[in-house]
Amino acid sequence: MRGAVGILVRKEISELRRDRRVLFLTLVMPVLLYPAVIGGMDRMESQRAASLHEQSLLVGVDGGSTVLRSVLEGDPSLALVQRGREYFESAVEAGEISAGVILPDQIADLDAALPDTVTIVARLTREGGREATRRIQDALAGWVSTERQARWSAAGGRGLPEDQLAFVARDVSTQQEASGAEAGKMLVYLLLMTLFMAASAFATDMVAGEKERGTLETLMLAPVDRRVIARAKLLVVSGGSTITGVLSLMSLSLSYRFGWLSVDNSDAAVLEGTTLLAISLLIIPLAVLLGSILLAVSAWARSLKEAQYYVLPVMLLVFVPALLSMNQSVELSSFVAILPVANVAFVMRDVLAHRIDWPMLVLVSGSTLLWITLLVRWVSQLLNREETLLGFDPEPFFARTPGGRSRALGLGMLLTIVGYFYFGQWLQTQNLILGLALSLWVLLPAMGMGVVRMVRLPDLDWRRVLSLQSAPANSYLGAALLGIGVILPIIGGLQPLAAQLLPMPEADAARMAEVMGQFTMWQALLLAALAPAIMEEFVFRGIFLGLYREDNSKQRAVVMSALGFALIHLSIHRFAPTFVLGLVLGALVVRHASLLPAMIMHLVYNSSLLLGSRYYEEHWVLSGPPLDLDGPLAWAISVGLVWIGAWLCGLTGSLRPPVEPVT
Amino acid sequence: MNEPMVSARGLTKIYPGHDGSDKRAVDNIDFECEAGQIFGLLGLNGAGKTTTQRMLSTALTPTAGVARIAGYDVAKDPRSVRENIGFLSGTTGLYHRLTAVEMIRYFGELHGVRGAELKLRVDELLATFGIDEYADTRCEKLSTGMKQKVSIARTVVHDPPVLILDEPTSGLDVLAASTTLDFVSEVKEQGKCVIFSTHIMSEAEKLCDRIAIIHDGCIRATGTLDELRASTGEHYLEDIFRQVVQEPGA
Repeated sequence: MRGAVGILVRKEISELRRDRRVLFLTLVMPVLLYPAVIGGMDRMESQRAASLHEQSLLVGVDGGSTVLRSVLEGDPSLALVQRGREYFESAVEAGEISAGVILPDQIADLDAALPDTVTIVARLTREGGREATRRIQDALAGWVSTERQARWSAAGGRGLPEDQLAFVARDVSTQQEASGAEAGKMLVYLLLMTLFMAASAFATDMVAGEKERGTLETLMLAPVDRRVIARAKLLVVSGGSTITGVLSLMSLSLSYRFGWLSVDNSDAAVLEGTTLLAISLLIIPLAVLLGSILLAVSAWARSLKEAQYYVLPVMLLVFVPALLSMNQSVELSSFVAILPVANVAFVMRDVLAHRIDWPMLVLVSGSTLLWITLLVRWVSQLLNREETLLGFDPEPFFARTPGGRSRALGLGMLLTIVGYFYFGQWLQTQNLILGLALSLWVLLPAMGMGVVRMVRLPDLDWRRVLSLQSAPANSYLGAALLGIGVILPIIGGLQPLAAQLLPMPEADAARMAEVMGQFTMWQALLLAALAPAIMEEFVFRGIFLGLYREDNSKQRAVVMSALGFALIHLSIHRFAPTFVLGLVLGALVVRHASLLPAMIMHLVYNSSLLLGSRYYEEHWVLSGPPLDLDGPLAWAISVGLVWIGAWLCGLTGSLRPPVEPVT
Repeated sequence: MNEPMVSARGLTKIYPGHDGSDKRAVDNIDFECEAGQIFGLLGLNGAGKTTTQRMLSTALTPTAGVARIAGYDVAKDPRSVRENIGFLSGTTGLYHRLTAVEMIRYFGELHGVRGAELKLRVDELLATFGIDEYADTRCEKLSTGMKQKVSIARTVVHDPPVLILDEPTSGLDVLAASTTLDFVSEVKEQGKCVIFSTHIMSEAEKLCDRIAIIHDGCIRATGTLDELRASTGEHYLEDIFRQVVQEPGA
């Protein structure tokens, strides 16, 4: 009996562990998905709280005894401006102040029977207004409590301490804003759910269903580009779910209008006019995003049933961040703006509450377009795969094929980035200088060599693959000129532009400056200029770019290595500048099949930044160059240096095949 | 000398295995077929017939070797190849919620046949296969035989010069199978080149001008039926087949 159980159990386990659905649901989801979702939410919430905590809120104040005024003045989280009370409402609406507070002219004896009233004027549908109200109340109530305690003790513990300041909060939110904010809590959720259900029904049937019924192969053998097939299917999925979404929105709007939802008349205005139009328009990107995600899932799955298995985890992954929009206190930040689906959900919520942050809207639109493009591209690639078309088992993850090697390389890069960050950070907390030196000289190349092993390329000429060759002498001079020339375009042009959309928090900038401040000039040059120039170039341009180039185009290899290079700096605020720098460095390496020019450029670039930071303002690397280095002459010199440098390096044409290397 | 309508030279397909080893599903095969001929691929299940035909139809990319159809390379110009072939297999499905006529019309349009030409072609096919009566019936409600007729009509709606038929009678009853075989004979008369795979000896005997016996991904013998008889000394194709696949080293 026991033997039979063992046999049955072994067979079931053997089958289950070969079923990728089971592996996904029992391993990937609990191990990666849940911590990622919950960690992400927690991080967003703590970032929001930290960001608000750091801010000193501007509060208008009118009237009041000097005692109460000095209490508020003594609170570092509030910045007071003296204004007349008639000005408060318009100032709050215009966002000039977070709240206005009308203090009683004189405070009565704290033991008096009638309390004195403090009126706070704020827009309570906004996070800033609620936070300012809370801070004012906390500061004044804290003072009352301390004062009464002192008096009560002085009186020998007689009498009961009671609140002697009454707070009246006057909300200046319009009825529409208040109703919209309320509606935003549920409406966005309902719309997301409707769109997702519709899109999943269409998408799973349209690819996985066709695969199962045996029609996909016939379709793919028609003389039609598979990108066209992917786009057509996406059009139907997103069009169908858009119609579903708009219909449910119209139905809801009519239900409000005719009072079928038993709400008071004020709520009827929530879904009318421009709001209704804006929400209907926002349904389109949301439907396209969800449609492309689900089409990709459907193309990836081998059968309809398998696709349906994946719908739930995908729903969790896209819904949970988006559902944060139900919490009015979580604002649309630059981080949220780049999260697919969640970003549009947040914009929807804000539109309902009649608040639109235009720069954020631009960022949301840009990131949504980018996500859609990437996803459609992925669906097309999936449709081109033989295993998708015929429902085969996919090839092994680490197969010795171009695809297997690319996957191994991608995973290796990711592990290098994460490992370098966590282990390197731990080393640096033990001893900053030694830790940094070990991270760059030992950890990074060791991880890079580990990736070489993972990729398992056949025997190759490693000097060629890793670009461990010399280059023409003039390219060294050109690289040095490029290193200086690109500073102003990157620091004075690109960085401020990126900071407009993703401003670096003061605390992060201060922390970086503090770390750099602990080095002597020579230590900084050695550890933050020379070591990265040699080791980052060896790993990113030598190993990663070299390995990518074996199975991919040069352009793709340059982009992928630049992406890894930007990601390893693990700061979204520095992503754009490091990515662009990575592209230039990659192009240099490809041009001469040599790491040396890139190492020189990297060394000159980093050294110049370090020297600049020492002899000019501390933060100019992050906040843009000092004014005397940002004039037309400086720009003209920079452009000139870049041009001469590029010419000397042979980069003035397009990316050409590398010239015969000088060995 | 004119180029054959279908040719394969050193055609190979290797699948990477989960245990790190590679499986050669098709190993370095050569054959060719002229217009107006039926070339039979005869083999056991898993011999490499389907993989070969999928490479010819551009569903799979060859790992090595070259295959050309109507003058186009399957790897370099798959779109032109697709314009010139009709592909049908035993597992080919129909869109259940489309009617027979919608199904045929859809594939005609995908192949660039439009307007009056398409209407004429669809009407002609409905009449040829005797499915006019069921033209507006949803495919899910058709009998197996009718479904097969719709599949065949879908395959030839754009009048391709080459037909790739992968075990087209698999799973069909006798009447439905005979409809398919009659159709294959007819298209041969029309001058089309047919690559026909089967493991049913009688079908190959009855239809094929030339036969390749494929086993473990390799072509073990090829020729007309008479040539195969002469080379093996056997009369019946079943005996010829058994002898070829059971040869030492086979």
